[in-house]
Amino acid sequence: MQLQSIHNDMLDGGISFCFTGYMSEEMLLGIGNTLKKKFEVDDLDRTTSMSMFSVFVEMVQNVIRYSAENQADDNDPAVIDLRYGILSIGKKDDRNFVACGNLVDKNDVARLSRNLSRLQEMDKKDLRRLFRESLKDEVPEGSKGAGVGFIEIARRAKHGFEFGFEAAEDDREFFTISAYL
Amino acid sequence: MQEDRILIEASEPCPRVDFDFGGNRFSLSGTCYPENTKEFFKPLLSRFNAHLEALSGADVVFELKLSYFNSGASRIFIQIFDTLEACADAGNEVAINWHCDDGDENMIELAEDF
Repeated sequence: MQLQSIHNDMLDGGISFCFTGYMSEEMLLGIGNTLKKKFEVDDLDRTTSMSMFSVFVEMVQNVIRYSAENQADDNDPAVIDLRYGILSIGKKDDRNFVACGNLVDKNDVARLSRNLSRLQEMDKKDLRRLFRESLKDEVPEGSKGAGVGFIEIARRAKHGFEFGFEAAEDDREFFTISAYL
Repeated sequence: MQEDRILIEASEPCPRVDFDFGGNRFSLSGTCYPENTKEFFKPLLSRFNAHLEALSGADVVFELKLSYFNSGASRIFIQIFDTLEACADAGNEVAINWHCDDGDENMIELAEDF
């Protein structure tokens, strides 16, 4: 096992917490409680720690929901793969970050990319207005995958967020999103 | 006969629910971020909505005392507030008390959003 080198790579990248595996509500609760304690120990201010927690919840629930939406059969290994993801939390260049990655269907890439780019261009005021509007409206057709959850992430990421896609097996791409707080 | 009061103790990620239909006092407290918010609130809200629609000349108080809720819960709260607004329009006294901790800027801003 090369745990030592993985650990060193993580430290180099400023990662203080990392999870990879299948994402579930149980995992969300367990890691969530661990994170809350960690934020206390790190003496993060209340607003930052609540923002970090919120971004973490929205990111993980996005993965869980995305896999559920595409779930034809619980036992289909190809579908279970969609719950597979990576989550990391840390601090680099004086900015806290929460990052998450998971497999997505190739067909969803263009829409996700378009919607997230739109959020990236918005300032705090625009995001707030969009949040208020999206609460009232039913999620418009074609915006699945960039609902209130992503707006919440964009709002909390006071130093912005980045996202990207990389080719993966079959008709999948690996989607990553990193929020800086 | 239906119970006059629904009391569900908090169990993360679900909030403590205290819906007192007899006294028209309703409260959510703790944290609220279940993965499937709709499913959690569906049975509660069907009764809540029916109860509020039938009221007239009543005094209704809805209290939120949450330290954190997710975006899915936001969508539910807006529905609750719509129902409360309709209840007020129908001639009832309706108060919404949203408790925010001092220094919890996110929560104060969210309360304003609603």
